[in-house]
Amino acid sequence: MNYLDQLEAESIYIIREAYGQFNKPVILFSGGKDSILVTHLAMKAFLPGKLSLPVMHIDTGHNFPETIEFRDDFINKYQLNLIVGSVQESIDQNKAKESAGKSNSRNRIQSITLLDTIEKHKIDCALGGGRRDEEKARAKERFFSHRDAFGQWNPRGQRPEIWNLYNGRYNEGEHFRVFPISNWTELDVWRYIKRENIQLPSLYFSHEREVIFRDNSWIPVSEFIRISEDEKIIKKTIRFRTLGDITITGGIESTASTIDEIITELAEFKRGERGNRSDDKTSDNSMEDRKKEGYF
Amino acid sequence: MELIRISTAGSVDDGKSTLIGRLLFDSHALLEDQIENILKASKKKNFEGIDYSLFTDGLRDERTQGITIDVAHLYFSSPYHKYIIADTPGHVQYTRNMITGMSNADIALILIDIKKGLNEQVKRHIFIAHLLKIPKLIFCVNKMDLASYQEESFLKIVKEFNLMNNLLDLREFTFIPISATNGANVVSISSKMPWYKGKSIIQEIDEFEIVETNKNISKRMPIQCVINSPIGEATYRGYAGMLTSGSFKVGEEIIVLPTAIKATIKSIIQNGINIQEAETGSSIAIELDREIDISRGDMIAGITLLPINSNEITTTICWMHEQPLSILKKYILKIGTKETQCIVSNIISKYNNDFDQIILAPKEAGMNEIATISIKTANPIHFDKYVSNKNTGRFILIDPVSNDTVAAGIIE
Repeated sequence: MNYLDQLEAESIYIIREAYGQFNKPVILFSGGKDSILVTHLAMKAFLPGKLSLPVMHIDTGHNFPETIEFRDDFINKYQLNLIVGSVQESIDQNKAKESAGKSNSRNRIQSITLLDTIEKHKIDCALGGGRRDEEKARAKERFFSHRDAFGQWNPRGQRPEIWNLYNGRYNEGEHFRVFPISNWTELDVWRYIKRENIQLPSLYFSHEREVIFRDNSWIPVSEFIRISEDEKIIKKTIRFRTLGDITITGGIESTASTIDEIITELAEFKRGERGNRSDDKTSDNSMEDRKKEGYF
Repeated sequence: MELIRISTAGSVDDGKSTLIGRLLFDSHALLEDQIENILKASKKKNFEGIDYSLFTDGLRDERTQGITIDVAHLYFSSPYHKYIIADTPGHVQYTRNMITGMSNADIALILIDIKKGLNEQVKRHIFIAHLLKIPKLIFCVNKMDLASYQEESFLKIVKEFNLMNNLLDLREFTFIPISATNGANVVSISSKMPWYKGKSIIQEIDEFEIVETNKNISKRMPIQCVINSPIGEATYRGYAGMLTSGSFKVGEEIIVLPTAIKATIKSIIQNGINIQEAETGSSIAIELDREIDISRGDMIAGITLLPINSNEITTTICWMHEQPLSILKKYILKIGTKETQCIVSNIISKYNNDFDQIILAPKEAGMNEIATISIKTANPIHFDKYVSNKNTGRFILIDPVSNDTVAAGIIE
């Protein structure tokens, strides 16, 4: 079997295990390529039947307009159930407080909304597009990753995960995060997107945009960021390698406008995928710390 | 190109993480920013040059303590294979995480510190690799630089292993003298050991090929879920699962277990597409020619070479929990997609810590001990002997109170 077929079969096996073991599994959907891939695989897993799992979007309010447009088209096209958790609502209810920094980032507080939404809808399993090659804390994650009653990940006390026998048993109030594409690399994802002709938001492809240079990357100009006087707004031809909030997602200078060009570009890249995400740069262990709090 | 899964093993401080870091670095599989970050982190620790272990030790506690706590997964490709490496902890307390990494491995890289030889923990890992029947074992005798790259020291370790192997009778293994820190015999052959005529680690793993032992033998598909879908007036009813061994064809007669009702395969769907034949490892949905009550936990099997059906099994387990095995307690046994309650009716024997003696009728089996036990299940289960079919010959035990996975077992 070719390695992409092997990865695909493994992911579908894990999605079906999640469906078989949990009462209310959902797919975490951000509009980024990895969550689109997980949804695509989940649809395949139940063919010729229809995907019964809802997709869940944690809406920080700081979105790229293109992402929301893509999300709505995607939901419509495949007739999926959408659950939205709103960070703005958490802020209005005084459950979360925005950070004061320049980027006005809502990245960290979205964990609060995520856990709230999980509780509200009695969700016991959230399938996510996390990949082990993305980041060193994610490299440590299980396929079936247990979260305690506070939504916390305990990296020091993970359950052993032997062979393909996934233990999804939990006590009241606890839940699981399941990562079906743990073993895919960034390049695998793109090669599969090409093979399957999967549609993606236009943001992944090269386009012209107003940006400022901040923390070594090109941050898009939007109504949500605070631009200081010494920061200059310029036009650049860029594309995004990952998609997060518009306030923290840096673009890379690129002319790659097709999947083939992106694959060629990636093979020559010398820097990691999340290097332009300022949420990962606050400290060396920022991903681990956020994951302990319930971050996806 | 196929995926090859590699796992490290060996005692604490034997240099497993350093070896993997070096392997990736010397194969140019690391990115510039990864190297920059590691250089910074190494400097912070007052380490001269690059501390290669930091490439895999990603948790804060791991870096401050300088040990590996849990498995890290790393990915790289050579012109021959695509690799998934599980870098596992050596500390005895985290043996369960080592087993997590090793359980799916095609190749185990077992490190032995030239200065320490085969200590208890290395022996435990070798024994577990033997138990899991990992297709290929590579013994990396590490820190050769501390033994002045001398052949005698290396041969002493080989001799020590041969003594242990009298009992195990392992056949598929290779010994390589290495220095992970200096990269000797990791990717390139070191000039410091002209007496060594073998291959480097990367050459060994590149030349490895998976021998599909499960092909065309017993046909097994544990059912994960049922797919129902209306097609016009009728309803499609498919049984979804992964074909763990053998192959299935449309028109073939199969048997559904535990009901033992026979039926014929009407269609096989893979990724929404009708196919005529499914191969081992495929995630598929099977439609049958008649209505049968089938649900998650059942199995579709070929009509010849049927699995064993019993509520009593004899098995060798590795106990993985702080709370020792209790013969008074109920556990959940999970095999394939089936779960059933069970009790341990008898602890027949266990191995001593040097794995050279068998203790008969021990009172208990504690964390990291390997024991042969009898299990009685509430419902009969279908299984194979691990030697004849790995996928259907293995299980885990779960504590129903804590929900922890407490043991991994293979059926004899």
